[in-house]
Amino acid sequence: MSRAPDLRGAFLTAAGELGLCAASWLFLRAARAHGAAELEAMREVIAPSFPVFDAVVEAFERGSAGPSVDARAVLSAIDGATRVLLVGVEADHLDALVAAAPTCELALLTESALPADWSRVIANFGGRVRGVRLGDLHTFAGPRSVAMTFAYGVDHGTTYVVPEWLRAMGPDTRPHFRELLAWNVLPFPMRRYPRWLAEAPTATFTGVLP
Amino acid sequence: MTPLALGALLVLTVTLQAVLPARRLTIVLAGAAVSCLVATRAAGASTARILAAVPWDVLVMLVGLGAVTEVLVASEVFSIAAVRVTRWTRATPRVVALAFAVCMYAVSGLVNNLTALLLVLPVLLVVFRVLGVTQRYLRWTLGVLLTACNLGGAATPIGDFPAILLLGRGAMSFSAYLLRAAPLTAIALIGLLAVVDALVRPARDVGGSPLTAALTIDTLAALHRGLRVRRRYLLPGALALAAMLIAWVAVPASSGLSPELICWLGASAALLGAGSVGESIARSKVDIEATLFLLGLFVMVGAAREGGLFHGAARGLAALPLTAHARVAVFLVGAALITGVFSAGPGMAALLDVAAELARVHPPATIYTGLALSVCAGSSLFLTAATAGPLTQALVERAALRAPDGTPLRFGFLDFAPVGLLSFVIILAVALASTLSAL
Repeated sequence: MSRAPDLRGAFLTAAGELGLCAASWLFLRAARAHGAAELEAMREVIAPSFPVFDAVVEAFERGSAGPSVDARAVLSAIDGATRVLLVGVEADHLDALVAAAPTCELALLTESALPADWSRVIANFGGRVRGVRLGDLHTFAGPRSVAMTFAYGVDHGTTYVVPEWLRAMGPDTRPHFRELLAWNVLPFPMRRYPRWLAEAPTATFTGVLP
Repeated sequence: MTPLALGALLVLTVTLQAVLPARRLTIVLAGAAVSCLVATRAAGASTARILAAVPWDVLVMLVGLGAVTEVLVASEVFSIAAVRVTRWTRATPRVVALAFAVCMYAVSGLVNNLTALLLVLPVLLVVFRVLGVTQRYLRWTLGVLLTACNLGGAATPIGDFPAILLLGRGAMSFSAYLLRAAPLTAIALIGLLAVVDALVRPARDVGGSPLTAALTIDTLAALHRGLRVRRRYLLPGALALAAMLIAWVAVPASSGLSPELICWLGASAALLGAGSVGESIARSKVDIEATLFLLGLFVMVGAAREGGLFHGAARGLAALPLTAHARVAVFLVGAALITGVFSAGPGMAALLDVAAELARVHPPATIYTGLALSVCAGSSLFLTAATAGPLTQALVERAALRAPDGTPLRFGFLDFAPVGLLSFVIILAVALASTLSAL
């Protein structure tokens, strides 16, 4: 319990570059390997600040074994597109998409409320993903371009996404993309206030993918 | 009068650039131009002669070695090595501090330590954040790391500017410098690490637990999961560097294949071998700031030399009512202090001419190696004097680290001061002991 501040800072570091969901599974596995008591202590410290971690631990305790990453629905939704703009990071899902869509040009918005070394994030994709700033989004727009973010649950017409999605996909930007997709990485409900996330009306997406 | 005016101009310029580091390049270039003007108008020198006396070979070596470093950087080898070192230490705070210091010492002897540190620090800062380190740990670990970089740079003739200057100007051969400086810098590093580890014990208040250690290693692995060594850049960079090292050691000076030509050939081979990335490095990654800064310093030193300033300083040193040993000691301590205030570039550029006078009456290798070590001690005294100091400070500020109790962690001038003072004393002691015992 005395390590609480360390673990919050540590989690923030991991979440900034891996994504809230991927960091949650990483921390959960590390704690679980040291015993159930360590996981419980970690949950008490991290969960109030990071509701995605809380939801992941809850799902784990109810029997979920880990993130199930299946890019098939995404591949179907982006069929015919030549470029995909990604807003937000979820390492497991991004890795899967990069491997599954070898001919697609991929770009990642390099803005986040969480701390991130974007050169390190981008370096993991072996040149397949390039970084793009908010002011340069138009360079990636077009009739065969798709914009996609990661969703952290859908609830009564509301989809929880990273705040950068709302900033990037304003009324002026939305018409420039063929599809506006959300890839749901957290198929479990959050019990706490969705800190670090923003609410987007589900109707503003052309598809929310499992 | 002219030597005094040129000397005053040199001191004024060097002081101004130390006080206003954000404007240092324009200050030094302006100072160089005014020095040329004074020397040509009052001392009968000509700008052409001053420019001809600039040690272009040193600049060629700096640019060439920087280019080879950039080719190695493109291979991702530094980041991957830093992750592996952390895994090897099992994220034990005490071992992390020691291992990174030793590794950076070794790396700094071969490549530009500023670039290497720029790539290793982001990994280390992640380790600090996940481990939850304290102010004491941060101060001593990063402080010792900076000193280790300085010592590594002084260990070989290609590690840092002062030693490159000795090699480029033909003051010492590659092998002679390496054989003398490498053991002395290693002794200084071992001494520093032993004192810090035994007396300061920076890791003593870093909690650490098997879980935080595991999290550190797992997080680092995940953050660098897709990084692979790019052999197409590693091979040309490493092969060129190895060939250069062999040539510097084995090719006799009488062959005409001078150190700077070997460097030029090696750097060209590395850049060509790296293909389009090599071309991109040559066009946009050359450290033009450092090159122009040193060019300005060389011009100022050349103008001051034309005016007889250094000859006068050497005569003044020789006239001191001291024994020969004491004179050398005064010179070495003065060199260290001057470097501490003005940093290694200006310090070494100005002092080498005075050292040349001392080398007429003492064994040159002893004097020059002593000078290089004194400059290294001075470089380690203050955060502003260490080559990579301001960069480290900026990266730590950007990382916004916090201690386990939530206090923000800093790495500023005063935070580095105790580490700098200890490093200065140890390195200078090694410099004085080795030099005076060999006279």
